Amino acid sequence: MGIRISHGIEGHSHGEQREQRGPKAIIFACRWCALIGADGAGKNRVQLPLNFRVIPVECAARVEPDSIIRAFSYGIDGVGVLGCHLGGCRYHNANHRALKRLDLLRKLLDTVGIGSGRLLTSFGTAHEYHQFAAILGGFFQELRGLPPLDEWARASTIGAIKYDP
Amino acid sequence: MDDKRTAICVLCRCYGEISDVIDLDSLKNMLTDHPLVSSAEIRDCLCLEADLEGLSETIRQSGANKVLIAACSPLARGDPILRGLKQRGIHPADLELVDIREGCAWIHKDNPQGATGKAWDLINMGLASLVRKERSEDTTTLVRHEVLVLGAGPAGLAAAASLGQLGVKVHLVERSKRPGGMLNLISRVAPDETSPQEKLAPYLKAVDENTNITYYPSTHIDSAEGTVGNFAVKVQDGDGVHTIHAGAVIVSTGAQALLPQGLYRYGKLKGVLSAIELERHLKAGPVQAQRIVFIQCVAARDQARPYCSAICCPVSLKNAMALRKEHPESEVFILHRDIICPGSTLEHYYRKTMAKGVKFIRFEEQNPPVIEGDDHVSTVRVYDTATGTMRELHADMVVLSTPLAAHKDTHGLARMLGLTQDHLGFLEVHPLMHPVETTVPGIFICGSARWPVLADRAITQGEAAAMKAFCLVSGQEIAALGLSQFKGEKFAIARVDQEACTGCGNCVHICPYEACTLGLVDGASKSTVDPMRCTGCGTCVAVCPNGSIQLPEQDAVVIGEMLAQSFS
Amino acid sequence: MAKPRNEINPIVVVGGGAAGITAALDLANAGRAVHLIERTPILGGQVSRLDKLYPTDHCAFCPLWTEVRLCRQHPLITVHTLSYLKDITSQDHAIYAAIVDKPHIIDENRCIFCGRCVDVCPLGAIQSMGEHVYPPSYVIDADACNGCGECMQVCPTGAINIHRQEQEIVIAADQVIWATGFGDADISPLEEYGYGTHPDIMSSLEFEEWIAEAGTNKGAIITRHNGSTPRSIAFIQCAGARDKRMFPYCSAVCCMHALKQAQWVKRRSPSVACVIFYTDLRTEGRHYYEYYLREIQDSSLTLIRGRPGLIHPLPSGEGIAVRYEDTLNQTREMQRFDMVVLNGALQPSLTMPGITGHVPALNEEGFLDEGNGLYSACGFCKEPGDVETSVAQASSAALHTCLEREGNGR
Repeated sequence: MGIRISHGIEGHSHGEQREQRGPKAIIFACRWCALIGADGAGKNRVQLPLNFRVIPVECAARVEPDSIIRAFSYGIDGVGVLGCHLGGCRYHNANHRALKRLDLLRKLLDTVGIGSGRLLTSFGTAHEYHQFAAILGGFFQELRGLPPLDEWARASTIGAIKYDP
Repeated sequence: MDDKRTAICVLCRCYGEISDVIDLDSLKNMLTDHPLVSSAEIRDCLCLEADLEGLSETIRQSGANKVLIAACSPLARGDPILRGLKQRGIHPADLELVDIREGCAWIHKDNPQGATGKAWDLINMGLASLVRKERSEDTTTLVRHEVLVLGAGPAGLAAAASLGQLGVKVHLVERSKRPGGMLNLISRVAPDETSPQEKLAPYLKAVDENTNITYYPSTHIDSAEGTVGNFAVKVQDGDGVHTIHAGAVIVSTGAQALLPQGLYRYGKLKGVLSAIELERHLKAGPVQAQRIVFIQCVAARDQARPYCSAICCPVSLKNAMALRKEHPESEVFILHRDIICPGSTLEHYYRKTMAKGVKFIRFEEQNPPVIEGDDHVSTVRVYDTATGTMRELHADMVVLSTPLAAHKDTHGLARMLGLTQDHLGFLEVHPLMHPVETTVPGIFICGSARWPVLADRAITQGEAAAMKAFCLVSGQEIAALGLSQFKGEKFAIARVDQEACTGCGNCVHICPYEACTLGLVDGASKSTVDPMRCTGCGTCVAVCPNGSIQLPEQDAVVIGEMLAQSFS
Repeated sequence: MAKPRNEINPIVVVGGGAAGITAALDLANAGRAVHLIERTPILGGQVSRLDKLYPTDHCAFCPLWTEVRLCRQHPLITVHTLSYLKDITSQDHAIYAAIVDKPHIIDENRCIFCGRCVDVCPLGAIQSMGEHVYPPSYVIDADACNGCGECMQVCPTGAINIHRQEQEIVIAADQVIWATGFGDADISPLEEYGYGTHPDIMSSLEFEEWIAEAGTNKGAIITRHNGSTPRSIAFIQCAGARDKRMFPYCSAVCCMHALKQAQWVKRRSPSVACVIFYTDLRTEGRHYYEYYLREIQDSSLTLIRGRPGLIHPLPSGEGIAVRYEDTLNQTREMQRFDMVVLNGALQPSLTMPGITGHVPALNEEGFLDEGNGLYSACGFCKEPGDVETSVAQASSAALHTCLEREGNGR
């Protein structure tokens, strides 16, 4: 299974092409607070940046640092992990562990040169439609301000990935 | 990859809500050429019954074994579609729902080409998940139509009596010689002032007469094994050890009354009693005291014990009423920081106590009352915050209201049963909607072992626990996937690749439900998952160093594939 | 009362809030058929309409929503929304319950939430059922509808039918369990609280909606009269409760409710000073006292013991005056606040004005009198209490119903 290279879909207006080329984000959303926020944005017809894809998980604790690093290795500019507020996890505070793990990962990302600004975490601050929109919008703004992901940094992540594709 | 894994793709127009933005026709065309797809079609509105029936028929006829549906959010009609198809024989593990409405069409209305591109990516991600995902093994376990009740206080007696009357075999284990718990130590029950005998009579009668209920006095528990449906608990009495098997366990072991050691000259001065000692006196006969001062919140609602024990105010009111009744000329004061009588019954009782001449003085935590006397208590000095004056109350008896504290043996019990204690020592339960349930399926907590409560409320909780236990044990068997933390069904059950597992124990340590255990398999340390306890959260997957534990419905390779497909 | 032992009739649960849902699910899980009757269009009750819950600080709808979903999915539970219990009669050792189902002009099972009906309704009589109702659906206020039928023309699924009629069904039931909860009482008769004299003097449930994250202000803490950030908010406890003139009982939930609201005000707008005027701070539930301790550690929450004697607007937009005696200092004070929240006046739903349908025997405070044993009660309609208490009572009521079936009463 190869790594896909980004191409825009042909025949767009300039603005859309720019959006096509803009930062890309993967959002791991827990199926409780986070997905409720994302769903709310849809229900309320809030218009959001195009280039994010949601991967639903049961709990933010499911998200492995490995998957996050892999996402960067595929050329994704930012990864968000959205979960429930601390004390509100449906799985008996599993999200506490997730928070700790992600904070550690943030340090690792700085060390390898990817940068901690590319990891967004939100625990209980994105469960309403307007919060989800604000957080996503803020993340994209940050990502747009960052230089493109360094080739060397991306390459360095591949050795760190746990699984063979 | 299995060549036979082909999926049928169904795209929903949602009567234009999706198709007005996303070019479903071009998606359909691209899907028809997709290596993973056997056929693709577009429907007008999947969630309406007729289309669902037609859809199931199409799926059955196509021979495809996997179905991808691109429609609205699972929180909208996605979930009902899933259920509808399940009822028609299509298993959720063979189905993938991709949200291209709330997740695409509705949030990118002004960018139809971008939205179509995104929908294509989302569908590809869905296909990646669909063709790889596997089914969790759905084990079922036979359930014993028996319940073990630990503790024969009011909560345990009510639970045992109800379950016995419902035809469930009950094992009621009590550590001490007689049933009744803390009610054996008190004169009258607050706030209705009934005698403990009267309060417990119907339950004791049921325990005595109902042949479904076996009562084990002077018996304590040694160890516990097993899981919901079949717990095996070793108990020991004078005759030896034997094993009780039960489908569910109700813990109603109560709490213990704290003695006010070192406070208010307790133990040093005659006439200064703890509330529980007053009860003993009241049981024995008329109390010879003319001026009684109760002090509330002794060793409670402070740094060391930052909680309100809930029962002490009603109990002091009840005792004050009893004293006034015995000696109408007596003077009774209750010195308090707040009177905790919530609701209508208790508030009413508080007013009644005031009307009967019991006097109330509020003091502040920083300025507690002072006990005076040489050999015997003579005076209580207290700063009355309502009048702003220092009061000197003549007293020939001082009663110290101390909180109920968690039994010192709770820790051992918790370890045996796999329960957790909160930082105050009480047994942890779920908050809000499931107050007698724990993170261990099949184990329920009620009464003061859970949190200090009056007898009536302990009885209600015992009955609530009995109801939950009854629902659990009244079926022949329970399915592991069906035992979920209040969602109705689990997403997945973690599975360990026994060959790859190195026995590191990370999963054991991190699982919020203690569903993983290490054991020897062919001489090597391996982890196994208790499917009854696992809730499918995936925390273990994230900490496994080599990926040997996975959720079959969403393993790491699936996520990797989804990431690879995310931006085409 | 002896019931024919061979007959297993369904149970009627009146009220679809936390207690009612719990009773219904417990009974259904034990194999009994249930008719769950709810007056409003949605299940979840008062608790699900709050913003947050204490002591967990969870969003209120979430714990209720999963239970509601289970209720709707359960094959043994028939959910009736926009319904009420018209009458209960007993005949030949059985109970007959007459249930009125008011018309669902929009069929929630066919609504795809496209919103085309909202755009064409000339009277604005169509609204979303709620931000956190799943599946989402629109609902038409039948009283506001003028029957023009414009909505029917544009609905793509045929979900709308303005001609649907009310239906009445009579079922033989084995038991009725009341779980009708509470409503927000009108405190204006107690004039000293100033309710109605200033837009920023609100009841606690109104304030909850006002500051709700999912509400109109999206969680922002602003005044109602001019949308500015308040400098200070007063929470008045026992307003209407523990009061012989209105409700002599204690509503049990308000102390924690005020602490929770003050906590969230502070979280969202740290500069706002919150003052709670209380009589007895009732924090006896599990972990409640610690919740209180965590809050008072922050200095912008002040507690004053005293029930204010007079609350009135100050002239020309200067705010609201609260006149009180600080009983712990014996001083008479007046403090100026930008907002005042009146906490306490919760009354059993069955005593609220305009309630339709059968009302069982109530005691003088308005709570259910279970003396005759024909029915049981749980939750606020039986006794004011928090969610944990009400839900335990609901399970207990369900249990007693099952015991009745076995021919064993209490």
